[in-house]
Amino acid sequence: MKFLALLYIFLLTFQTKAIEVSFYTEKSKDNIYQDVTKVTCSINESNLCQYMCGDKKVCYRPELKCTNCAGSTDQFLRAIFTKTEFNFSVTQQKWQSGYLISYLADKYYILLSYRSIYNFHKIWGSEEVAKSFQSFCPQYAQEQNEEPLFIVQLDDSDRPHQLKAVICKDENHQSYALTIESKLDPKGESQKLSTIINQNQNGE
Amino acid sequence: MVLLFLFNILISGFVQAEPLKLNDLHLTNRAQCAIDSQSPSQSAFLILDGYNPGRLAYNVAKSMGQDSDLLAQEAMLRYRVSVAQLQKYIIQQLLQKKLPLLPYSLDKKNLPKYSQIAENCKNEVYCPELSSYLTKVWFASQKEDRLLSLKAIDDFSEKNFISGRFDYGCYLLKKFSPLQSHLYGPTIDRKGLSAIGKALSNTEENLVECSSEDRSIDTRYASFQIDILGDTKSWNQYGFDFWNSIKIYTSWAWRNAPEIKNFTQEFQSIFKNLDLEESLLYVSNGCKSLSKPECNSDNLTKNSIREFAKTQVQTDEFDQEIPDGPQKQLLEKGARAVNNDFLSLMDYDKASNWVENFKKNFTNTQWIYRNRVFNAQQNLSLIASQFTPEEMIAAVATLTQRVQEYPSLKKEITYLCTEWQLSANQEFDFIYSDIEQIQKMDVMNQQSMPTGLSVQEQIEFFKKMSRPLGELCRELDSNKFFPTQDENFNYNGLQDWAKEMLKKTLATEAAPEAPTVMSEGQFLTVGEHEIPICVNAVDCSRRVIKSAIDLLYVSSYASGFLSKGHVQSSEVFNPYNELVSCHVYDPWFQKSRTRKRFVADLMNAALFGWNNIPAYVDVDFVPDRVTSFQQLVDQSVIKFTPEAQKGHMVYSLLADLGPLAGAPCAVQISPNADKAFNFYAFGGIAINACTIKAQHDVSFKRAKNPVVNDPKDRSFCGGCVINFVGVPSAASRVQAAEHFNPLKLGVYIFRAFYRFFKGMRDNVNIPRTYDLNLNQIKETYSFYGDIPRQCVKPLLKGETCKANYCESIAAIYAEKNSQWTVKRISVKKVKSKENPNLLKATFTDEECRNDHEIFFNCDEKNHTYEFFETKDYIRNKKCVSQKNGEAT
Repeated sequence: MKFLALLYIFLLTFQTKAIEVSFYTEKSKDNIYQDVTKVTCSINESNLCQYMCGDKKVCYRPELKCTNCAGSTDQFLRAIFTKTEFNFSVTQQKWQSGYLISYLADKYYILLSYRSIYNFHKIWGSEEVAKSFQSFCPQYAQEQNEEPLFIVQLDDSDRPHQLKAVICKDENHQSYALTIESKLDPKGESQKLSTIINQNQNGE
Repeated sequence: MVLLFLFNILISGFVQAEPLKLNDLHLTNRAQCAIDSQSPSQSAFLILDGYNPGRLAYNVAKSMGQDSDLLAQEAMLRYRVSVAQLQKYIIQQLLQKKLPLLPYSLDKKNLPKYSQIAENCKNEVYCPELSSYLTKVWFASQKEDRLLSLKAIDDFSEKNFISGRFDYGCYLLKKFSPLQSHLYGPTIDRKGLSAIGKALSNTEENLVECSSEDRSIDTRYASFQIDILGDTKSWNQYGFDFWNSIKIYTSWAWRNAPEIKNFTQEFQSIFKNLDLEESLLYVSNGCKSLSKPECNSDNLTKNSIREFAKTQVQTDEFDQEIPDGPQKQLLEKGARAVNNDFLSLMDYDKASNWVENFKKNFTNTQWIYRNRVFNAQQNLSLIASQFTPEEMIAAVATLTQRVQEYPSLKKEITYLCTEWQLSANQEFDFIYSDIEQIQKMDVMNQQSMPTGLSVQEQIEFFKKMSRPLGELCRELDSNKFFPTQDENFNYNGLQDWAKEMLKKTLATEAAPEAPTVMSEGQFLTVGEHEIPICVNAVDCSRRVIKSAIDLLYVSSYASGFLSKGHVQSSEVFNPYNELVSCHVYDPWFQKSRTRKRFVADLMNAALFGWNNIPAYVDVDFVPDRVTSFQQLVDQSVIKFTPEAQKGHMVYSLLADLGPLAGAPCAVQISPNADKAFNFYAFGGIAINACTIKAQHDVSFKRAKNPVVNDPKDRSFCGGCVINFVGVPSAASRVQAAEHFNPLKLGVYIFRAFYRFFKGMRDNVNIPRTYDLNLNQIKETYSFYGDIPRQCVKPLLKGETCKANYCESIAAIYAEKNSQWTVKRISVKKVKSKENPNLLKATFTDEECRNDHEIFFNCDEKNHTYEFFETKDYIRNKKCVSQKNGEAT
């Protein structure tokens, strides 16, 4: 069974798909405040939504528990909201739509926008955070004032653990994700993102 | 004009239908408070700050385009109510023996699985293992066959449940009132009792049921009072486990228990994400404790937040670059006054205002701690992501060869090496071992972020860098690289922490010196916009050291400010919690000292009192004096072992010249300068003089550990006094010719008893306690309309007052309607045809010599009365002063 599911996801990843991911806060029919991730699939990509929630057109996913996210002590969220560019960088590694959907369907994560309810670290909806978040998407999205969404993976304790990717939108308002890396991880060739000027050899 | 005062009281004025469930007020002096600190409390305040739910709702409203202020108010109210409901639910479950107790001591014999998991998880309830364990326990406890279900989880038995009958009360405080009188003084007078009686008659002015949805009470800051009612002796078995359980179950249930949805209602989905522990704090209500007092960094730092509960923070400890640490603060402040409202509760009109001041002071400092951890982590991780420690120092080494080209570099390298000497030189070890210790501290390791270096790795990087840096600095020193004293080098460019360590002999206010920019540009930048991290390699190395210092700063009080995992508690009202557990104060010392001195005085009387030997050996006892603490990391917590100058007997040899020379004089020679000259024990006309020869040594174990050795002092005193002891002693010369001297013996025995009773009357250091039964005070107050003077003693003993009703009523009436204080009162029947029940009360005021009279009717059986005096009549009565006989 697991094999079939993996095979299905594998097949999905090799199809060029277009989906739209959005995120909002609502008061549900049960009268409960909650964050919701909405994934809309066009007719051609209905299999993605069907995989995610069983519906061909649209999926709704209420936000999972996020331990201590509504507070100011979580230093990881603080790093995201206050020093995003300082701590993280976007790569050009684009996620396949199928992979994005399978991630959104199966993994433990939260989505963060500059208007997130978990922003306890800067003024809600501040332009500074908006610009900082937008800088992770290509120029087009920045010009269109699109609202990028960060995918933050949760750990076993449901605490923010890793900034996995940013969801940007293209000209057709279709969503895609780009991998994000941390700049703070230990020294390694691929991590050398900083500009280093070698002063060891008298400036040579 | 006749004032008609008809009264019919027995049970009146008490508006609440539910009886008030509060514990007796346990008034204690310093010594008793210190003793109490070792026992579990039956009363606690739960301090709540609604900022997080308020801010969360504000963000939600903004996201949805709603009225953010309105929703924030709603959320804060719902939060206050939900927390109260959850508290009540958990307490009920524990007291009704449904939920088992979670032991505070992780002893493998008791619940081995729990102990192991809690230890692995460092008591963090959101740790998956512990969370899963608590989930199983929670659901098993709701089953009919709960013990059987619980046994399948761990080694649960009947002894893991509270036994005995306990009830509880939970209240939301509107203001601190006489119902917390035990926090305001070690004893209480009639006015104090009367204030308690009044507060009990108008409870709605002071408190409401804790889950009240009263919107007129501040929704952001709140203080709940939780009282557990029941037998104190039984409670002592369970108390510490109970509060430990409350803290852990509260943290877990808030996020996981299905019942919480009924409390949090429309906020149920988002409230479970709240950082609950940031906004709740348990505080013991009185001298007893919520967690077992121990002399370790956890306990000391948690209790040090007491400073923030004061109106004005009275310490600069938290402003220092390298704090002394709570153990040094403990020694510095030492024994101090307690139960005197030192946290100024009564200065605030509302309990919420006191909580607000406390939380603001606390949060401001908490932010400084968080910022330092954050900045250290960012700097060290960024630097370490690009350089190995060896590469970094190799880069510094090349810069040492470029000082001709950049003269300012020489200064910077000098600063770097000075900072290395202070922070990382293991030979002198000013603070190096303290920095090393950070790696072993759980509370610090919990501060690691998911990205970048862990705290342990950060310290490791610092240590690895310090080795080659030390070699470089030594080499530079041997090459005479550093400026000599003759060069008059200015050290103003040192970092603030280094200046502080060098005892602030430098100008700390000097503007920071900018690092030298090399022609090649910045040494390390980050991001597309090239945000500079370090200007040059020396700058980078100094940042590494500064980051380690920041971590050291944070580690001193981390348990108090950054602790995670479950709701914390602090014994803010009782500094003796740590003073006793760290052996700085011994509550039994004064009692035992007085007894020992009494025995010594009697022995003196037996040996020298009856004969003509002019000797007297005066003994006294000095308590242990803690001079410093040894630090040892045990189970990831720093344990402090006190190093003390042992308590000892001090003695002096006295020559009582009275019986020899006939003069009321004595001379004393003592090997201890702190031995007071008090031979005659009483005051009187006296001439005393002493000379002291003192010698104090200071030795060093390490650079940071000066040890003051026992002083070697001598004193020689002489004095004459005319008083009850000196004169008879001198007069006993008459019997000097004979062998037996009864007058001298009498003086010696009398003095022994006098000193004993005087010592035992010490109201501060001999344990004293009063248990005030609130029901009795309420009944007395309701019965008489006030607290009669005759009722003070029985009420202080916790006994029922059975004062004469008519006498008491007359005294209270007189005091209420005049400025006088009734000292004595007597009531007699007056013969009157018109009024056969007429009574006359004659009372004496404390200040007046003359008596005053009031006429009234009173029925002792039916408790009715009627006064015939006007208020003016009593007030205008003349008072003849007792001192000079003048009428006023």
